[in-house]
Amino acid sequence: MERDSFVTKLCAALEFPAGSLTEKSPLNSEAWDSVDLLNVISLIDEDLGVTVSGDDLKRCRTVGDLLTFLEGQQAAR
Amino acid sequence: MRRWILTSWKVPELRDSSDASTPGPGVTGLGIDLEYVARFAGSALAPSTAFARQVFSARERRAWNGPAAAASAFTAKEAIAKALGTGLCLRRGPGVPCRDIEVLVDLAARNVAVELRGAAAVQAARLGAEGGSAWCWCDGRVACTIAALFSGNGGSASLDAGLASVRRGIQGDRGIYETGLGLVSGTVPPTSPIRTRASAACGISPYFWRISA
Repeated sequence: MERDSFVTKLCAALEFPAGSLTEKSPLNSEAWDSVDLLNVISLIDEDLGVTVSGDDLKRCRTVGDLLTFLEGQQAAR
Repeated sequence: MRRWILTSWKVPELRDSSDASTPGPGVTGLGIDLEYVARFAGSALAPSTAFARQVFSARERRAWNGPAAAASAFTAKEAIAKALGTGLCLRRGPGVPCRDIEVLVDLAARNVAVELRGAAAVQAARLGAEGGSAWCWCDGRVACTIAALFSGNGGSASLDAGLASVRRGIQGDRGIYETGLGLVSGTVPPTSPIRTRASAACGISPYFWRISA
């Protein structure tokens, strides 16, 4: 997985200004509504071929945590 | 763009004018959802995105006719999923998969058609629901849907009573709009059009749908 590229797509999906998310940024997914959750889950599903749940996302504290979790899921396939 | 965030899965309690403490007979589940239409006009939720492909079925995407219809369809999915007591998921729960609740919205014809399948139909059967209704409103700025599931106890008479109860709840002085807004965090703008039913430009007539598992 190209980490920088995915962070850029995540930023767009969450409608944040370009470049405003880094791996150290808190994911803060508890504050997301259902549209945000489904948007990010859809992005992950199509872009990385990994199916995650909202609970999986809520366990990730930072963007970097999410990337590491997703890499682990890809490796486990 | 300012966002509203639902703070609770709790559904509004529909007030029957004759008994304010209980929902109408045969009502087994209620759900409500609101979304800003502008959110569905942006690039993040456009028809070309993973969100559109994963959340909406091919038939729903073919019926996609602008952000107002898309926002209405999404609020209907979400409201029905809340009425089912599950919420939505993509494929892995908790929740029923988005595409198991198919919603076709035709704003011009003032019509919404709903079909439950898969896990959504199974959950509806588990609740003892035999049918339901979805009421959608969209004034071009905010889309809102209230969904109700009805039990089969008593057959059509019970369903009719349930529908009548819901209608009374919506039409009452303390209508469903304000009940729904109670679920939303933040301050509602005083001129918010969803406070005034008369200003709703393109409300959709109630559409009764039956569930076939």
